[in-house]
Amino acid sequence: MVIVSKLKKVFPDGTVALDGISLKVEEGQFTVILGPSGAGKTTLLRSINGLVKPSTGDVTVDGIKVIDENYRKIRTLVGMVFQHFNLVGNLSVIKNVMSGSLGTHQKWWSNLFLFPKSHQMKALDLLDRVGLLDKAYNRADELSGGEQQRVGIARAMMQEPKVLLADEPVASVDPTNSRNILSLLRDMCKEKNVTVLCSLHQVDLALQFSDRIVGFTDGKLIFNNNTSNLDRNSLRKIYDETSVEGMFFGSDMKTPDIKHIQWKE
Amino acid sequence: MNTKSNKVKLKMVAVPATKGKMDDKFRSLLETIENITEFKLEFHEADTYDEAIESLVNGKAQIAWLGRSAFHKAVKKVKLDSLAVPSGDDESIYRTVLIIPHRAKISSPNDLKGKRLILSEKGSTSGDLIPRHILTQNGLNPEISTNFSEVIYAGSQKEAALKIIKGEGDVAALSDVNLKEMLDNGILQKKDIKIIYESKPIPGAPIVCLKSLHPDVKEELRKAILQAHKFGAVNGYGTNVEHYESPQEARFNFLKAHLKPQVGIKTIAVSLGLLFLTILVSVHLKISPKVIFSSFSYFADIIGRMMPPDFSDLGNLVIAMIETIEIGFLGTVFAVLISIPISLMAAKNITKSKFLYYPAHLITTFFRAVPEFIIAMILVISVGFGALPGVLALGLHTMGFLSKFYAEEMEHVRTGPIEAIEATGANWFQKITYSIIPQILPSFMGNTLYILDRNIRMATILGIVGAGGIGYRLQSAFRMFKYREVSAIIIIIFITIFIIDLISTKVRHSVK
Repeated sequence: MVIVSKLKKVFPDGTVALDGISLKVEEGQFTVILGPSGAGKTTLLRSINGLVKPSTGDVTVDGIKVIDENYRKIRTLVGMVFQHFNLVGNLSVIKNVMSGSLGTHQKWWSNLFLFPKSHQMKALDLLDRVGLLDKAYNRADELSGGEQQRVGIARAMMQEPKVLLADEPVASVDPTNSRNILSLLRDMCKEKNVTVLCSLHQVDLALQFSDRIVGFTDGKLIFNNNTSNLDRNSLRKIYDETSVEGMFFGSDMKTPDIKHIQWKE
Repeated sequence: MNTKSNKVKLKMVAVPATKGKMDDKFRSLLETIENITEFKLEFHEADTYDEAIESLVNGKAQIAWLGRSAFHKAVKKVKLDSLAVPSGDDESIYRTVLIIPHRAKISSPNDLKGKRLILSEKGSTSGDLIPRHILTQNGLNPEISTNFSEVIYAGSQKEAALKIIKGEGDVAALSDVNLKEMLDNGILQKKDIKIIYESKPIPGAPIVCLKSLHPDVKEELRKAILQAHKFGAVNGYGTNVEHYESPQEARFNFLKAHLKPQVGIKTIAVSLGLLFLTILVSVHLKISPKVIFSSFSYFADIIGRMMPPDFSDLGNLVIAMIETIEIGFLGTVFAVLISIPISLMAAKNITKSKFLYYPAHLITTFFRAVPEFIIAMILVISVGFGALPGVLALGLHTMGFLSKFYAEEMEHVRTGPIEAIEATGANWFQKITYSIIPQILPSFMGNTLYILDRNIRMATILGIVGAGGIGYRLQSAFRMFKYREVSAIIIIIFITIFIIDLISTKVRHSVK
């Protein structure tokens, strides 16, 4: 279970990324964080595993407060899947997956890229689950984008996380692959009762895969309810009026032609 | 004692993976189970895959062997439990093979482009799904129309093989279980066909039962199948089924077959090779730890004679140090000025002419190869003692480096922006100023500052060959055995370099 209370994050340049967010995510739920880019989705996710330090407010994961002293502990509980996959390109696929267990495998020989046999078997098992067993010993950068993200998911699951954070996991993947990857992510997490927080900007995907939707605009919570309760009005609020006005300008008004304006010195 | 009527009756259904032969494949296993349990087992080979699934759905059959593809289809309609998976030695289960007519001039899957492909039955694992997967992995996805001129479904694996003999296709995909059987029965002759590809072993499909079956029945059945090989003959679908194992065990063995060693032989060989080479070279150069330790006392002696440092001529030493910095600075300016035109000539994406590219490369390589020390010695002889030979030597040598750095930087520029600027109709110069220079500027500054830093350091010792600056003083002090002044000079050089290093790091960070 993840509890976020009165979380506020102001970046040094004055940007308010999160403006007093309070949120409770139930265990085993697949929650999608929906909102336009710049809404604060990434900042929220990153503050859950301590990659971003909140200005005020706090986060607890599984009863443990996310603060400096607990980072290592929190990060073994929380897995992460990234928008740009973040695989180590010149390591093999299986080593990338096994690196997910580094939080618990801390023997000195882990630095020689060596893992216990049980970890190797588990990595192969996960790679089979994501359909990439045949590519276990290929270099990670030989894989296509969709395949790399599936390795990313296997790496996160290798960690046996209680909570999985997915930051725009399908933003760099084509639409067909997007669905495959999200359903894989959903199935694997449901099976192990992993709580998922996944940021997306595609409304259709959010509706299809989530149990609950959290809607964001300008760092503020606009919507926080079961997916079935998301209606047109709430959607309009998430993708706020500015974009609606933009559409209006685009269709009905012509941009003035500045060539005809006479400059007076 | 139970009489026959008391026995629990169960019905097993199998998909027609090898039509008409499925009874043979399971008969002895079922008989063994009947012998060691109270079950009465009836066997039925379905006519179609769908019929097999249907009989499970409506409960007519409780046990089944469905292969892989029908199994995946079935679990969507009815809840099933895996009882056991066939196993044997490593070769146990089956493989998919690609066969061609014996005379065909095809030697690998790569030669199959544009040929007629024969598959057996749509949706079957060994005759359709796996071959598609294998071909796709070899860059011959049958879905793409240019890869095969025709994709034919023969209906069964036997028909697929016969079409090859009749010349109605160029390549057929089937399971080696069926192939072996056809060869044994004389339907096919070994001399008529050629196998051009054999897949990795495909794990055997499990024997499954309805999840709704009574737990005790399920358990007894499972136990019986797993132990059947101890009590009598066992068979099943696969080339060489010797016994059955639990699904967990089967999964483990399947994954284990894919496991490779964590450290490659290559890595070990290279590491050992390097170690051996290091020892060999040390022996050849007569370098031993013993000599290093025994010379320690001489080292301590000379350090002792250098103490305390003698700063009596500090004013002149500082002037000489400043001169050294000036030599390094001027040398760098000289190097940058020559490097800009030369690097333009040496960058492949900018120069189109070989007559510029090769000479430019030759010049830069030459000056990189000759150390500034040697250039300075030659220049001292031709232009005389003083700062000038130092400046020229540094300039020429580092020009070799800077030209290479700049040229490589230009070659690695992202081409997108260049295209975009070109597309606006800009001319050659505009293209460079708008798309290349902004991209290379940060690293241009970084490299130049690094060379400046380096040239000032190098200028300190260039004086040793008579090219002016503090190096000249250092050398004179050594010659006159003024070791205490030597240590003073070393301290001055150290402080200067330390300060320059700090400044250069700061500046380089700020230009990013």
